[in-house]
Amino acid sequence: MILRDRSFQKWVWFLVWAGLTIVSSSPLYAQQSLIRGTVVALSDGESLQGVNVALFQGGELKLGAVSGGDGVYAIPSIQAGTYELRATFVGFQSYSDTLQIGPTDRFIINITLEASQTELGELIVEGDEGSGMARVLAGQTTITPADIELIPGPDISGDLVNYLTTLPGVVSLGDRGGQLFIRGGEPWQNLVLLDGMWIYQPFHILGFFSSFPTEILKTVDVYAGGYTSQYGGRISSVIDVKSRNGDKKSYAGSGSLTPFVSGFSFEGPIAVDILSFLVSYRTSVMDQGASRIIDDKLPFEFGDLFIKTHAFVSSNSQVSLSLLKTHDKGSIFEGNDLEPAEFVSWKNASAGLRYLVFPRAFPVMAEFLVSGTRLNSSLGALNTFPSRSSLANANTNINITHFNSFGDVKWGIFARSLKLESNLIGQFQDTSHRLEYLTEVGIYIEPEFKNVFGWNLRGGLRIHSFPSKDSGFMEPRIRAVKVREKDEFTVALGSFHQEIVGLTDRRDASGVFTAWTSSPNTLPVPEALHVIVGYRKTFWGKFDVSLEGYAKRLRNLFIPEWTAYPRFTTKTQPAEGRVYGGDLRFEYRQAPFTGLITYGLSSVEYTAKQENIELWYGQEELKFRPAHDRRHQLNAVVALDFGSFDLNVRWQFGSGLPFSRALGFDGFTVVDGNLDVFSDPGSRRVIYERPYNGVLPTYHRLDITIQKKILLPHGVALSGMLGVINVYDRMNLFYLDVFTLRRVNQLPFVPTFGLKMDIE
Amino acid sequence: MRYQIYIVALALSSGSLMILFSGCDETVNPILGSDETFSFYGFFNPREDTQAIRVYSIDGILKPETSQKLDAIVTSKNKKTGETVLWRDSTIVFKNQTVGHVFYALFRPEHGAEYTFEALRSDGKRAYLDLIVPNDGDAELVSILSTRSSVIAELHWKNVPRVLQAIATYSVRIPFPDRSDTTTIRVRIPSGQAQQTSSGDWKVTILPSTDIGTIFSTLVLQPGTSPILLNEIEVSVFVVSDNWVPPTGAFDADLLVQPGTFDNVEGGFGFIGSGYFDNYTFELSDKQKQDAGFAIK
Repeated sequence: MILRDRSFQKWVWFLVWAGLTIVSSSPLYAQQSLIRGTVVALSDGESLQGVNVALFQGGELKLGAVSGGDGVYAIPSIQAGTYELRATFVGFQSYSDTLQIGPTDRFIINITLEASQTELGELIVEGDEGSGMARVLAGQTTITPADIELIPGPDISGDLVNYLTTLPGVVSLGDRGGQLFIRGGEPWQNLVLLDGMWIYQPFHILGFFSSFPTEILKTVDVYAGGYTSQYGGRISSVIDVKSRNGDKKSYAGSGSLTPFVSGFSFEGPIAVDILSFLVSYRTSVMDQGASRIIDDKLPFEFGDLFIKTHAFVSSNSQVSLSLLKTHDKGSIFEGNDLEPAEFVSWKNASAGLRYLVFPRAFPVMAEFLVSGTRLNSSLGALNTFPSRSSLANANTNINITHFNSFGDVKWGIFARSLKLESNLIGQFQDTSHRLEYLTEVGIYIEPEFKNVFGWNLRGGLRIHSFPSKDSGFMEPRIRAVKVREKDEFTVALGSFHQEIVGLTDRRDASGVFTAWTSSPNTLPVPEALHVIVGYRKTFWGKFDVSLEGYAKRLRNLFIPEWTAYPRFTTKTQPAEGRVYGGDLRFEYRQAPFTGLITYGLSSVEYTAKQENIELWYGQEELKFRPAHDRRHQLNAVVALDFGSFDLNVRWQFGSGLPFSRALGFDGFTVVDGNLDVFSDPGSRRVIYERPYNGVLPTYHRLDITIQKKILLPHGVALSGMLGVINVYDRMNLFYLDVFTLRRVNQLPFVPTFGLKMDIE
Repeated sequence: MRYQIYIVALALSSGSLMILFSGCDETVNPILGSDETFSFYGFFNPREDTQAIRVYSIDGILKPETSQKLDAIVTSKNKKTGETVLWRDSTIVFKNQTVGHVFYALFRPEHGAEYTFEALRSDGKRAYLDLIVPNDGDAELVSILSTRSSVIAELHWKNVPRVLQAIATYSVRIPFPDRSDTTTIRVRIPSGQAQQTSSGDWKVTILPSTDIGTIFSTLVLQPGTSPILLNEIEVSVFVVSDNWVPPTGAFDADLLVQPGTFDNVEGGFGFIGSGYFDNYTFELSDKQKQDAGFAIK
């Protein structure tokens, strides 16, 4: 829903009133007590998510909670009395304490858990029962580093992007470019956050690597749609990456080397138990490494640097400062007889400050986020003036959580300032030089209602406005989960808008340059409606099956205008889209075996509304399958952990992607009058078939890695990895230059190896 | 033992996948091919002795044209008389260094005649079209309406199928700075106003009182400081065949580039029309010149 200024103000006041009503009517303000706190691990001071914290009275469970992303838990609405507080988590010894709670007490109890070993001396691996391929919750999948390590890849530590591409509905066009299409949406429609910082180009130019090394990751929540009201500004998906805090007890580090990247990480206490740091650095080494092993040009360079400090300022507050810098450079389009090779580059820099506090005076948790991001991108041929795009934004967020017996109420306010500048040459006609300053402000509220006829409901309303553009949006959303003993049902619905859009030349997979701009004043803003319905069941405690169906309606999209000129012009045309799909996921875990099978069935259809369509094709609008509509996706992963070595195998399959075929090539001259054919050179022209009527070959690949870890004295561990990417040397197509018939394949048979040293 | 079972199972599965897929190499051909053979661009001009048409072959790969002779025998035939003219291939290197093939023939098409233009490939496939050369029309100065600062001249072209463009060329004299003599200059101004009347004539409207402003700015002169004397006005219209009209009325290259949008070729693409420039020259009276803003002496 679109709002104008006055409507926006009315709705904001309504939201504030609604929030105050819900909160003030909460039993919290009655004579009841509250316990809040943070759960951390004894070994390194890292916060623990998923810990069960419960109050028992007379041996009977009375109330409980599960710790969240920062290890934060809260148990509200406690009647006065004597209780036993217990905290339990797989792989850790239980914590227990006896509490005498009065009628209006507000305790802050921080819990430290110690890792446990079985009587047999076998180390129990820390697990997170909330993660796992099949544990999808209305489009939301939680990923941990342990999940990432199951997927074979060229990096010895694994990488987030390789796991993401095993998720059904996540389409990657190839092993270069770093573009992910999630459930029919385009890359510029995905919101990627790292510790609350907006990351605009989150994947490196070589598609096996994200900007987030596994060493820094704590959890990653992927919302393939239907996400909650605290997220906004994007219409397709959210990838919310949270980093670790760094060891607060002792120093640790690692260094790794593979033919593709080398890097190191280092962490430790600045003040034991209070202040820690974490540093990670990676850089590509393909010139010296991979390019010598495989018979394929890899003209790519990339790297990333991550620095974080985290501190428990007091017993009820913590603060962290994060910094991320990435750089990428390379050539994806290698040129043809008509056009020279193009080089693309981008640099990300983001910094964020996060303060989390349990105010002693108020029964809430408050989070304050301030962050800034800068992205500079360029695209062009050698010795020519390139197209450039730069973006700078500053974000401020305040998120408040009220703890109630009927459910938490989250609400927040946010403000963002953006500077968007682009200087586009050649193919991006209609845009040329553009400089814009924008401000966005908004508010959201997200009340949770537990156990409504067996369902946990989380409603939401997000209202945001761009005052400088006199535009505002109201976005209702709802997520519902019904958990039974062995299965659960999930539903999510939501409305989304996106004012800041990305322009790309999407005629082929080699188009990775994105120019960020605000949507034109004369046109409505892109919007989407999501519906997700899911079901999950667990068999014998170790076998999960989930089935999820989804639908999206996309409106006011911008897609490249069609033209018979070969790569000379790309104005945009309006389009609408619809997406239908379903995911089926199986996951079986029985040590030492972990098996995952995912299947995604999806149908994406766009309707193009270019003005010329009626003249060209005899109909007012044209329906077609866009270039990222992969109908069938199948992933099978097997991981064997034998203790002394790990074996990881992945086979992936994707049906062919649509593309536009040509009938032939000729030339064109406008015969508009006294044409002098001896002096007018004309232009070459492509005689296209109906757009996207062809289908590229299927994609499939088998990857295998084997890894062994040796423990050496003085806390040193040495790991070695051997593997093969694309075991049977499948010639998977990356892109096909329709004009010259030149085919660029994805990586061939690639032997890979890696060495990693961990020091604690 | 259990581990060995896992390894064996994995090895068998992986090996099966390798055997199953290693021989598969799905080639893809993005070019479907076409029965169309050539694309043509240009027009027949009954006022010229040499005719020229740009010819492109329709290929299966996008490559710059070369000077290699096109596989085409190009002819034109007068359908009434049966006279056939063989056209010759010439390779042109344009200013942007690209190469193109222009076929030319030495003949003057007849007004009102119908021709077939054809290019025949060595495999027997051809592209062709029929076109009608427009009649030799009659031009008439219908009226000149003249009031202070407003002079409108209306001309009609009769017996022509269509007028595509109209250009007014003003022959003017500019005095020397010492006013001892004058120099004559011709200033071309696209008129742009050609409309068909209900009787089928084509009306062209010339606005000397408006065009004088363009003349001043073209000659970088200041009105009131330097007089301009008008000799005569030559109106040139581009008379064309009736089918020489784009689908939306405007020659938008981005619209017309799509094959089939503005084509009249069978077995190919492109457009060949027929047209010629016809001129009519007239003078304004002294009062009309003054009303339009020109000087008298």
